[in-house]
Amino acid sequence: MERDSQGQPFWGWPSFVILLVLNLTLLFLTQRGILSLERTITLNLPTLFYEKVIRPMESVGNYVGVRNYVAELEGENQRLQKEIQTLRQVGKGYEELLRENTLLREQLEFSQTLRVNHLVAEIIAKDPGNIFASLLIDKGTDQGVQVGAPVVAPYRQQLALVGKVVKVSSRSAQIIPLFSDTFHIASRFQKSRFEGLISGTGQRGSLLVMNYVPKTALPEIQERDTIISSGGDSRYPEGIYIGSMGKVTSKDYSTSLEIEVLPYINFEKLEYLFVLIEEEEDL
Amino acid sequence: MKVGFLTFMVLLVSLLLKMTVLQFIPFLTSPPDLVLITLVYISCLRGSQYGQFSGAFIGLLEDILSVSPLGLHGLIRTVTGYGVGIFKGHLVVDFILIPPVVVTAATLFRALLTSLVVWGFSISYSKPIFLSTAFLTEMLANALLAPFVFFILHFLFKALGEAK
Repeated sequence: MERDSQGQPFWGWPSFVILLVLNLTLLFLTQRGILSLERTITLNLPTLFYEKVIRPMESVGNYVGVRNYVAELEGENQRLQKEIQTLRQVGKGYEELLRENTLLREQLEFSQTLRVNHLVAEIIAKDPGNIFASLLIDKGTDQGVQVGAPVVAPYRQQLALVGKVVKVSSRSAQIIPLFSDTFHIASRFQKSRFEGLISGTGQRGSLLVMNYVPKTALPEIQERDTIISSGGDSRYPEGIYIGSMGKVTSKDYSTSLEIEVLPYINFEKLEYLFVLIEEEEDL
Repeated sequence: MKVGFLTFMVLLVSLLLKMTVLQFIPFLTSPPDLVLITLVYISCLRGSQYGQFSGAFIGLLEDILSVSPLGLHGLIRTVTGYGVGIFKGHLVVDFILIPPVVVTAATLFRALLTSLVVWGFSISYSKPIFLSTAFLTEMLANALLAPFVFFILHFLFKALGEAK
């Protein structure tokens, strides 16, 4: 075992205890809601890293690829073989560009059809914590993003809910997905118009829960019915797609139903998002 | 001073890479914990005193950039850095066998400690901690990545005369 100059094992334990107490105190205070630090400035750090390091590296990679391609033109047989190889690589790059182009075109076309004020944002990072889910986008207060703003993505030519903004810095914003257990939204069945409150369960990819739907709704609702936002809470506009109905639980002691909701958005495949922003006169 | 700055930079870059590039690797349900691998190397190299401070620094930075409560990652990384550092001088760190073994043990330890802390403080979370495909994928990715990270860090610290 490690020993200090006096030959004692585990040297450094006093500072360890201090650090332990410091972290436990911070944890206790934030969990109790006593301490709430503004942690927005550092949100720019991943954005800067992405813009200044990752993107330029991609450009350098492309430049080196072209130089290699020119060098490979020497030698007839070698050139033909390597040209095929290079063309295959170019083909792969072209496919990726084509895919990205198609995706951006879809986003643009969809963006133009939206009637609400919005910003197109790219996901540049995800939560560093292994057990937490949040997304970091490349738009912040400089572009008009505000805390609490709804975040949506296209789903079959409609708007589907992704989550909401929880932290904003000048060039970045952090989003919690709708499956987070701190997420709640007033909602209703698109067809039968029965209303309820959808809450996240905290489990990624799993179901959301819709509560406060009266038992009288049971004959009029069925599995896979579409559930949309009701606009009951002013933050979320009416008609945003949330998910489809799953299993219904009706408890004897309760006057309302408990309905599982499967979100429409596949969070693993998200690349671009729309942040809904308020009209200037509303600010 | 130089070693301190290098440690700071290495931990910071590993955190930023974990948040950006590693999050978008296809087919990986959970990205490798590059911060943990880097912290394990630093603790093995410099001992528990250095490991605990490095862990506290990077853990608190993770808390600031995450939606987690402040102090959660700080606590877990501090204890991990201290714990791994105890074995300084007792592990012959090669680039093939020891890195995956130590990093796998550290991943399990981190998960166990996380379970205890989230239970103790009633912290709500969105992803599974233990017994899931995501955790097993991450543990495997950590083990596979560890030799490469140890190799790169060895040469970086060797340039400053730290690693042997």
